[in-house]
Amino acid sequence: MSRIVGAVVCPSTPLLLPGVTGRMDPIPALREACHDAVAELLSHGPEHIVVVGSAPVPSTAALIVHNPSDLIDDARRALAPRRGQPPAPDAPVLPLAVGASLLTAAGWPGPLAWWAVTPTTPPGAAADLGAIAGTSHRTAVLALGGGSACSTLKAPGFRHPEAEQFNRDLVDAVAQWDVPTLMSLSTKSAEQLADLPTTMCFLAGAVASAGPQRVNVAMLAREVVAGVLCAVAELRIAAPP
Amino acid sequence: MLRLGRHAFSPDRLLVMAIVNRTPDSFFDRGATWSDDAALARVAEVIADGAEIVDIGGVKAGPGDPVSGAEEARRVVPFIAAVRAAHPEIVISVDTWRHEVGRAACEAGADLLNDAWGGWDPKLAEVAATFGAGLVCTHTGGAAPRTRPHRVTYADVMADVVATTTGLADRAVSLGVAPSAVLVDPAHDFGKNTWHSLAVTRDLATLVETGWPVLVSTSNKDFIGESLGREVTERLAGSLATVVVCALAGARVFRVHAVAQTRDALDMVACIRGSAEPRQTVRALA
Repeated sequence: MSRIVGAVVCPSTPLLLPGVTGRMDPIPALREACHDAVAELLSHGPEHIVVVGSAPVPSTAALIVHNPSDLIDDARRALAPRRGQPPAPDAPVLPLAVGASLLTAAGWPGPLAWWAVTPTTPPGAAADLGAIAGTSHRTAVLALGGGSACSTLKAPGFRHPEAEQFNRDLVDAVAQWDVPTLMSLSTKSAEQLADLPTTMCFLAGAVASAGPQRVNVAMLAREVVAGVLCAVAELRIAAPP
Repeated sequence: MLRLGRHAFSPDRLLVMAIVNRTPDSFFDRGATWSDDAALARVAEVIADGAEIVDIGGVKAGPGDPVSGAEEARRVVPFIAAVRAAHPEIVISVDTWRHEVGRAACEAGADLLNDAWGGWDPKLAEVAATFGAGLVCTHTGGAAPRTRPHRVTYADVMADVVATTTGLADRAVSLGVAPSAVLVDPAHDFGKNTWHSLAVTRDLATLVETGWPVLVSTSNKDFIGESLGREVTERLAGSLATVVVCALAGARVFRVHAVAQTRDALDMVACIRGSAEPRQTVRALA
C-alpha cells in the first residue's frame, strides 16, 4: 500500500516558468498561490515526489528526473528564445517543466517521478496509472493541469459554449473531491483543451491506492488567464476516524 | 559605457534625445516651444514619454533671420537653468556651434554639447573638456552653419563621414573630453542630398564599427520627405522607419520630435534583438 502524505493541484500554464512572462508578471497572485501550495506540500516531509501532467503520450512507468534544472532551462529556451542562446535540444514537456520549476523554487532538489497522461486517456486508465505511482515511502503528488482553454474568443481554443459550465463543474468537483464527476468531465477534456480532469483522475487513483482516506480540499486560487482556467488547490489527506 | 551628465548608459540602451526648440521658426514645430511655459511643458512631456536627453536649440538649422551669439544665449541659457532645476536627472544637451554659448550653457547645467555644425568653432570642444561635458561630433561636409547643400559630391560619403567624425572625436579626446562622453553623428541632410542621406542610413553600421557611439538625427528631415513625397507634417512613419533601421545598425541615440512613438519603436527593436525583455507575455503561454 502506498503512503500519500499530501497532494496539490497547480496549473500547467508555462507562464509559471521563470523567464517567459517579460518584465511584468501577468499572474502574480496565481504564482504566489502555487508557491505557497508547493511549500505546503513539502512541509509534509515527503521522501518521494510524483509529478503528473499532460504529455503527448501517456506513461507506462515513471520517468525519474534527477536534474530538474536542465529541463526547466530547456523549456524556457523553447518558449522564450534569447539572443545568443543555443536552441533547446528537444521539444519540452511543459507540465513537467512547470512542476519541476515549482518544486525547485520550493527547495526540492530532485529527483522527481514524472507521470504523463493525455486529455484522451480514459479516466479509468488514468486512475490506474495513479494507483501504481505511489510508493511505500512518504509520497507527495503535484498534479498539474488547467481547465477549459476555450473560455473566451481569444482563448487558445476559441470560445466553446460549454466552457463556463465545464469550468464551474470542474472547480466544484475538485473542491468537493467528487471523483465520479471528475471522471465524467475527463471524457470532455479533449474538446475543451483541458488537461486538469485527466490528471485529477490520476490523482484520485493515487489517493485511493493508499486505502480509505478522508480528503478535504482547500481551493487556494482560481483565475482565467488568457481564456484558460487556472486553479490551485491543496488536498488534505487523513485516515478516516 | 556612454556617460552623459549623471548617467552611465550601457551599450544596449537605445536613448531618445527629444528636440526642444527655443526658436520662433524651426522647420517642423514652427515656434511651438518659443515661449518659456510651452518649452517647459514640452520638456515635462518628453520626459514622461521616455526621453533620456533633451536637446535645446536656439537657432534654426536652416537659413533664416540672423541670430547672434548673444541672442542665442538669451534664448537657451536661462531655459537650461530652469530645466536643470526642474528635472535634475535629465541629460541636457545644447544644440549650438558657438563656444561662448556652449560655455554659458554648461555653466547653467548642460551635460552635452551637440555640435551640429561639425567643429565649425574649434573652441567648442575645449569648452566640453573644461566642463566635463559630452560632445557630439558631426559630419557636415564642411558646410558653414545654417547653409543648405548645393551640388555636393562625395567619392564615398560614408568614408567621408567616418573620417570627419572620428577625426573630430579624436581631437576632442586629445583636448580632454572624456572618450566615454563623445558621440558621432553622420548628420542626415547636413551637407548631403537625399541620396547621400539614404546611403549613410544604409551603411550606418560602418560608422558604428568605429566604436564611437552613434547619434542619428533623422526626424522629419527632407530626405524622408523626398523619399516618400511627404510634406514636413507627414513624415512620422518615414522617421520611425529610419529610427528602426539605424537602431538595428547599432545607433545608440536618436534625436527626434515624436518621443512617445520613437520610444515605442526603439523598445520594440530592443525586444526583437533581445537586449530588452517584453513588457508582458501571455499569448500562447496560458
